[in-house]
Amino acid sequence: MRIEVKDLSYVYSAGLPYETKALDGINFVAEEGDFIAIVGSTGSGKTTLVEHLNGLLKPTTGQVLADGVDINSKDPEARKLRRQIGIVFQYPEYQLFEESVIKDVMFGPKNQGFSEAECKERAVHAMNLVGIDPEKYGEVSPFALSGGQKRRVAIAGVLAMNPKVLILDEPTAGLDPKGRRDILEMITRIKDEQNLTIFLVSHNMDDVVEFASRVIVLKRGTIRLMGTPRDVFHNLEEVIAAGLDLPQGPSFSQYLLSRGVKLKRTLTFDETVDEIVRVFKKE
Amino acid sequence: MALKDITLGQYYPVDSKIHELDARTKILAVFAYLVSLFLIKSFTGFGVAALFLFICVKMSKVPFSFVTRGFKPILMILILTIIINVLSGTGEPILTWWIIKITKEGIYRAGFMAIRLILLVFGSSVLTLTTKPISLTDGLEKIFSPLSVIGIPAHELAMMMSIALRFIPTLMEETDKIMKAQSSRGADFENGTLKEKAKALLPLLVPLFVAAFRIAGDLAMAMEARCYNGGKGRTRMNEMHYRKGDAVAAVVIVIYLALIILSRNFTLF
Ligand SMILES: Nc1ncnc2c1ncn2[C@@H]1O[C@H](COP(=O)(O)OP(=O)(O)OP(=O)(O)O)[C@@H](O)[C@H]1O
Ligand SMILES: [Mg+2]
Repeated sequence: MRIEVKDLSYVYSAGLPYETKALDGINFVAEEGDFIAIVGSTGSGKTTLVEHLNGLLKPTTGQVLADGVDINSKDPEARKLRRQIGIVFQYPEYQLFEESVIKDVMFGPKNQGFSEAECKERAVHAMNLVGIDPEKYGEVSPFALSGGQKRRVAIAGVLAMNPKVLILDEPTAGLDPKGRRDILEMITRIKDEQNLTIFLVSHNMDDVVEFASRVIVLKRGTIRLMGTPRDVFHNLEEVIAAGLDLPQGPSFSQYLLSRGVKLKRTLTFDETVDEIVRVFKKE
Repeated sequence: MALKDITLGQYYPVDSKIHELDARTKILAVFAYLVSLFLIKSFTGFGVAALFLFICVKMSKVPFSFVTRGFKPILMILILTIIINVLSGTGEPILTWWIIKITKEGIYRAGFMAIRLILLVFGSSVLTLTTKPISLTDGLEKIFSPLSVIGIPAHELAMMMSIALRFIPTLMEETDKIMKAQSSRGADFENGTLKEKAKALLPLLVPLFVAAFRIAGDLAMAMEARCYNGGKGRTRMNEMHYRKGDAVAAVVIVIYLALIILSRNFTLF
């Protein structure tokens, strides 16, 4: 599904003394199959932005279009489109409520009006996708799982709705490095299998460089930089000004450059290693 | 979001003469005001009370539209009060229809009760709009602390209240988050029959209770880690002081009460 955001602005608590302009004139297009990372320092508006993408927040001004249809219009088509845009929130494990894992995963499909059998089938499929064995964990209480497992179940709950666009707000916050990789690799795999459009909010630049096809850098509610990871992280000063870390690769090559080693700017970790080896072999 | 429309108990941050007053002064003044509303016997008295409230709101710099917002939740109660009072009036009916009898006394009483209710709500929301919840509970603690000699745990009660107040916004935020998450899974909190609506609350309430217990546990741990063990011997960072404005306010309140008591004897209409 193609998502287009046009002149989007959003004001919290409009008209009160503590009103905040959280988004200001956002414009971008996400093509079907894009993996878009949204990055920015705390309070830059990432969560506010992604909550617009499936109609949870209504723009103060501007529009969000899905395949050319305004998702906030009264058109029944808009409602159908909104349901194809799934969102996984920060700490999604806090939204689990059913008595068993499988029932919780079935909650979404049930609301979509599928039959019991069909819901179950979708739930089992989604649980397999996220690597939670339906045989072993299906009847367990979701509150008896570990944090990482709960997170997977919550993601399965969204996947079971068969979304065409998947939005993830810091899906790896608070997980160990392995859990983080597992979740991101799983997302990439599902994306390729089903040709999803992915929006990933992340604070981890290494993940962004490795997984995203495009990056949007937010600062105080406006887009500061947008483009491929290579383009964005080529602009080191801007990236640092937006309050972001550098990925390990550019960060290290930047350091070597400042110490007088002549090497090319690199992006990924592997590239950086290769470049360093190349330079030192030459000497 | 409907949750955000409730202003009863919401602080409005501006600088004004009313905001500056000591919380104790404001609590006692509002108490006096509420009592005065029950002393009033005539519309003249309500005229005085309404004028007094109007001046207070003007001085507090809180926009009227904001004060009246707190009114929506009690609109139903107000309408019900009016209907019951109009229908239960005794005396000469001016309008009879089926079993419904409307009398002059009934209308008079309904108007009387309605005005009293409106002033009660507005009067108390002026207190909460101009006083930070924390100062409010501190004030209450101070006012009730003499009662600790007869075994009433003023400090503990105040602490419980300030914790409850402190966590209202947190729980609202939590509710908001869970509602968003469940609605994007297709939950519908607005449509359906009463039974369906009640059932739809489950996906909201279970995670909310879990969150409340988690937050309470964290808070208890944090308080214990900082050696909190009750009110005995605790001093406070911001001592409360009466200032000149509080003396002026006290005089104004006394004059107001005198006027109200006078109005019981001199009725214009
Ligand atoms: N419910 C709300 N009411 C009022 N202001 C809000 C609300 N939610 C967010 N804001 C404000 O909007 C701005 C953007 O917040 P947002 O949550 O989108 O940031 P974020 O980029 O997701 O931050 P983080 O990395 O901490 O999750 C912040 O200044 C924040 O204070
Ligand atoms: Mg956020």
